[in-house]
Amino acid sequence: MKRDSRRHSWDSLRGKLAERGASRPDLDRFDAFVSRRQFFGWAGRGGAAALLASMGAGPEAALRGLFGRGLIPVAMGQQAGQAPLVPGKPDMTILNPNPISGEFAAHLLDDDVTPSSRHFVRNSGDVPDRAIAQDPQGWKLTIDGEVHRPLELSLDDLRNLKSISMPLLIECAGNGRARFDPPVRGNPWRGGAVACSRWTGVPLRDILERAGLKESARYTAHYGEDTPIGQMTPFSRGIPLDKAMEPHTIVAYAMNDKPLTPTNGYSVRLVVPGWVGSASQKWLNRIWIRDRVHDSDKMTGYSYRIPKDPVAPGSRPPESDMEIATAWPVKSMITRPAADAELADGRPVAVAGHAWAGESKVEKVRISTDFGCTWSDASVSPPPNKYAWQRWEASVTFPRRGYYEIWSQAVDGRGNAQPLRQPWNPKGYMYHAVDRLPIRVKG
Amino acid sequence: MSTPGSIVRITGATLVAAMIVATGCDRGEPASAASGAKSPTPTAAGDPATAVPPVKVNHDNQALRPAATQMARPNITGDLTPRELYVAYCSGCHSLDLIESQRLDRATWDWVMDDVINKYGATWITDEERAVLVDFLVANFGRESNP
Repeated sequence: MKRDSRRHSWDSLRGKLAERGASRPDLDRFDAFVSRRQFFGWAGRGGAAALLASMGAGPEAALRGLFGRGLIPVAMGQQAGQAPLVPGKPDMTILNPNPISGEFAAHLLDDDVTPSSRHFVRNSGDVPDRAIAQDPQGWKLTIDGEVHRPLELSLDDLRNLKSISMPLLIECAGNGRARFDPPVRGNPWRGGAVACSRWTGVPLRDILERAGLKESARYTAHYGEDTPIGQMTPFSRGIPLDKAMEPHTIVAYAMNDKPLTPTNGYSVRLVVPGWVGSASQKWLNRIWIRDRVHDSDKMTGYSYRIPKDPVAPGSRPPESDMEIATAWPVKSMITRPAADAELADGRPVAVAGHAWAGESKVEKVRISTDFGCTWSDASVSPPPNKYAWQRWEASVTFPRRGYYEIWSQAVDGRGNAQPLRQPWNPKGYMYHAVDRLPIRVKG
Repeated sequence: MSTPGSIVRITGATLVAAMIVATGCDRGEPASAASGAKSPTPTAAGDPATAVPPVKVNHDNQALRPAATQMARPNITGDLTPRELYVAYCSGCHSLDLIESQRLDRATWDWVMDDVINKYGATWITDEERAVLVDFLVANFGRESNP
């Protein structure tokens, strides 16, 4: 890091804290904050406010999380609202700087294989120090629970196992939440929390076979190195064994042929393609094989759960009517042209995007430019593997000036089409209605 | 374990140091940004928060809480406006952007506060504070609030 005047101020702040009797854990916390702050490019008063948040009321009890990550003294007031710049992701739209979550505008996601610089980030806790430093020293993956031979694997151990490398789709369960009506709670993803990067890793099946599953094994429980915020329990989800044994479910150590980016799970993450993104645990360090459905906080209640039966918009069914969200239904997105593009009339316009279908395959994509009165088929490319998105392309011509919307509707191999309106659920998961792109045509 | 006295001391040190950062060395923010404990209170006309009277932070039922939680209790004295309470409590764990992007009805804000307290562990929030926070959230980030 460059030692500029800004850095000097942090050094001097540290000195003052030490002089005034700050404890060792306080100072460690301070050091961790400063490196994190510089990593994310936090600037100005927002950084100072975040520092106060992380230092909390001071003593060890607070730092252990009893007061969460602490109180921002009222004197500091509102955070400055300066979003952190995440290294390597300059175009990311930040929804929530702390913990960091961000997505990309649809037209930035046009690539068939999503560059790491444009893979969305959805974090529930702090990015681990190891990930920020990209330091594999001391990392290991533990496999335990209902297995005959519990395992501990280093990064080198993993790299020495047979791997696969292919584009695989990961999509946040809340992608598209901003379009729910009535509005729902949670990060208001507009549709860019989906990506299909190339992932390299070891099929989880091979690792589980090495450990030897007991008869009693039913479900996985995933844990990572990220620090929970406040008194939250560690973020943990799991998948049934048949999905864990599916050959495309991998323990990934490379993203687009490089180490994983810090915010996407360095050193190792699960990739459970086609399922809600939270199944693809980041900063993975333990897979506990269980004899029952995993019952962590994020598997129960209303977390990553959707109503078993359709519910009226705005209503909240009892917890007993909710079930775990798993595979995505069929979806499409328009990546060309960009939203709000100004187009000329009478000329063909190239329209393109991606479509995907969870555990199925996209058979057809159709396009409408008249609010669904008429539709025409797009051409759809076959997927490079079962869990990659598929490219679709079409050409449309607008005869007259005006406001238009381009709509795309995908149909999967089982005949399921995207609905015109999104069925509602209380946490805004699994938005999969027809994509709609506003454009203007000049006469 | 530290004594409550040390909580005050460290908080003071942190504040002083942060003011140094805020006032000159970092981004040239004006000194007024960090001075005056009540300065961030918005006074703009039409701010729904100003219509709600200040709340007296209630420490009376602290004796009912586990000892460790008492230790973690911040040293807030005096009256806080609802907005100050909101900033102080909510931004400790996550950025306020998350809240300010929401447009939720009272039932949903109430549900969020249930989870904040019972699921995410902000157990120090008293019933009275919770009620003030829900009113503030509905007034500012309710279904009908302007983005």
